[in-house]
Amino acid sequence: MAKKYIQWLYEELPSLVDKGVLTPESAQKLRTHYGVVKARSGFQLALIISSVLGALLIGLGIILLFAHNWEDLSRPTRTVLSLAPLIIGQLLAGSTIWRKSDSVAWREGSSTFLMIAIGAAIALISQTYQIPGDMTDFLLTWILLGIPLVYLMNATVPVLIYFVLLTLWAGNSAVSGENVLLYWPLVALVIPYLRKLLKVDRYDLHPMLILWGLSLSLCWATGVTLGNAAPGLWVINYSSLFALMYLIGTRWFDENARIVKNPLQAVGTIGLLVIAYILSYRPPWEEIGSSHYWQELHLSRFEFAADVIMTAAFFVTVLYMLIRLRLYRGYKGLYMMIPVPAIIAFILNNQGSPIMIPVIIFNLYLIALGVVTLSAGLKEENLETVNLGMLILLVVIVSRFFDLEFSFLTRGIAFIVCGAGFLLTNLVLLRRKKGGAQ
Amino acid sequence: MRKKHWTLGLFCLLAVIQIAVPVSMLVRREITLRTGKQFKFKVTSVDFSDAIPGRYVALSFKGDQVTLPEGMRIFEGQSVYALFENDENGFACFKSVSRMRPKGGNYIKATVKKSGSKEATLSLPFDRFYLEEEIAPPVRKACCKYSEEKKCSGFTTVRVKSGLAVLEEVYIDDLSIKDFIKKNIDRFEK
Repeated sequence: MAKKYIQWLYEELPSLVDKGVLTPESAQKLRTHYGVVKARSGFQLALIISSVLGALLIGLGIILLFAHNWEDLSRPTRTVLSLAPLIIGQLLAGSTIWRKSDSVAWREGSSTFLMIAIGAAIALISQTYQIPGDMTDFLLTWILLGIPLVYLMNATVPVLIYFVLLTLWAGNSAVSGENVLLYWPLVALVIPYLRKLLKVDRYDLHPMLILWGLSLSLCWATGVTLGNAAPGLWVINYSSLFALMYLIGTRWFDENARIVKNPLQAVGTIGLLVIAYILSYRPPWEEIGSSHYWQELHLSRFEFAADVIMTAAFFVTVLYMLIRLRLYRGYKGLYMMIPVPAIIAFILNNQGSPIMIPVIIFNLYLIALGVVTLSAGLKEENLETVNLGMLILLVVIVSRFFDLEFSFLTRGIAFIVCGAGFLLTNLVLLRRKKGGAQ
Repeated sequence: MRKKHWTLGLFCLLAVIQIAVPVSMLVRREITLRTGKQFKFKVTSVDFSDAIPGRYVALSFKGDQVTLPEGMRIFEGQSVYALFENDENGFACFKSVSRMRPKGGNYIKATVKKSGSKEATLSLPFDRFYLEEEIAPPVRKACCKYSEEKKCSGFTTVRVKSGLAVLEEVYIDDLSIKDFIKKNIDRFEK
């Protein structure tokens, strides 16, 4: 059980005992069962942060000092200086494992320094000896040499550095035509560590930071690694990705947690709203369609098959979880169902339907999202939800008002019809309320 | 305690691998220089503009265009393997490109600079020659005065082994770059 819930329970126990709900013995049994809650003090957090920042800045500062005098140094000197930070980092990390393995500050600081030193050593040796190489190979080597540190040192900051490097690698691989799908097994290397942290306390700082890093990395990497097999597959990939994030964030994390504490829900919500908004315009749909197939295809058969299979897997996973966990109910279910209008619109567009049909589908979807969110917020008396619903509707209204793709007549009729719909709903609700009161 | 021993043991193994990687890059370079096959690549220009800030000269190569195999599509920025052979004058010239590492023949890994339907221009991995410490100072003194004469032609010698290419020397007017600069020191120092 998460630390914050146990703390809440301990705070409630005295009043429950006073009111006679629990006996003092039962309360003590509960305390014994859940044990002592070690709250992370501000002092401990300050130690960890200063350790990590210190290691990061020292590592980068050393590189800058080298750069200042680099061209005046002889080749053997440069070789020694290139390897020195790496060896120092390894000695620090090794002594941390042996003597200070209980100290989070030491583990995070030394592993961060070593992670940077790995990349610096490879880059400096390459520069000293003019060894040709490309950025893709350099980043991949750095990633593979650094990821074991996460498990050996039980450290989180190397995971964040890993995500940055992996995301950069994905971008470079996409440009150079290397096997970019390798991103997925590489990102999966972090999952066992994340799983272990989530089991202990899913609201702790460490898993939260990793989930933020993972969410942001996936936002970028999904676009560059998948959807290359056919134009427009990104519509299905991104809608499925954000639906999955939103689904996991809603189902397995506290919905009422602050946005910072629920990265999957936060990124999922923003992502699916942005995707739906983009798809409510015409230009993205003009690039999709069977007439665009094969023109720029640079994939091997394996890459093509893997791309299509992963896209399908994303989509099927979301649908399966929606149905199996019955999450399609309630207003949040509509958010999670974004892959459905996405695939319908994608198929229709590929079949040669007029481009305005997928555009209309997503406009209607956005309006539906805004309406159900607003209604749910009003029903639950939740101001944040009401504001979100209002914001969605406002953005759609303003965007369509100024959208020159639709004629004045079309926009005028659509606005009047929608406005009449709202007023009619208002009338029906008032009548129901009067009927209920009578 | 036992877990700590295992962790430290695994860490030591990782540390050895982490050091071995940059060292192996160095060793592979030296092995290529000593045992690789030497090829000459014709150069169309040797640009001294970066001799002061970057301590290197930029090289442009003749014959960096290659005919694409029938039906092959490649795009800018893509990494490819460029196969080459010596022509009748003893200079290397590119014959073909491949996305996969060739099983035999002479090849290097290159990047596509420009791509058309039948031909592509390659960016070669040895397009910079870093000047040694003793050559760089005279070049530093007067590089801007030499700028209108910066383009001159020659060739480079490159050692190639298993796709790795290491630039050995740059020759201008049949002199090594070091001798060329020494011979023309007056022009550099004006």
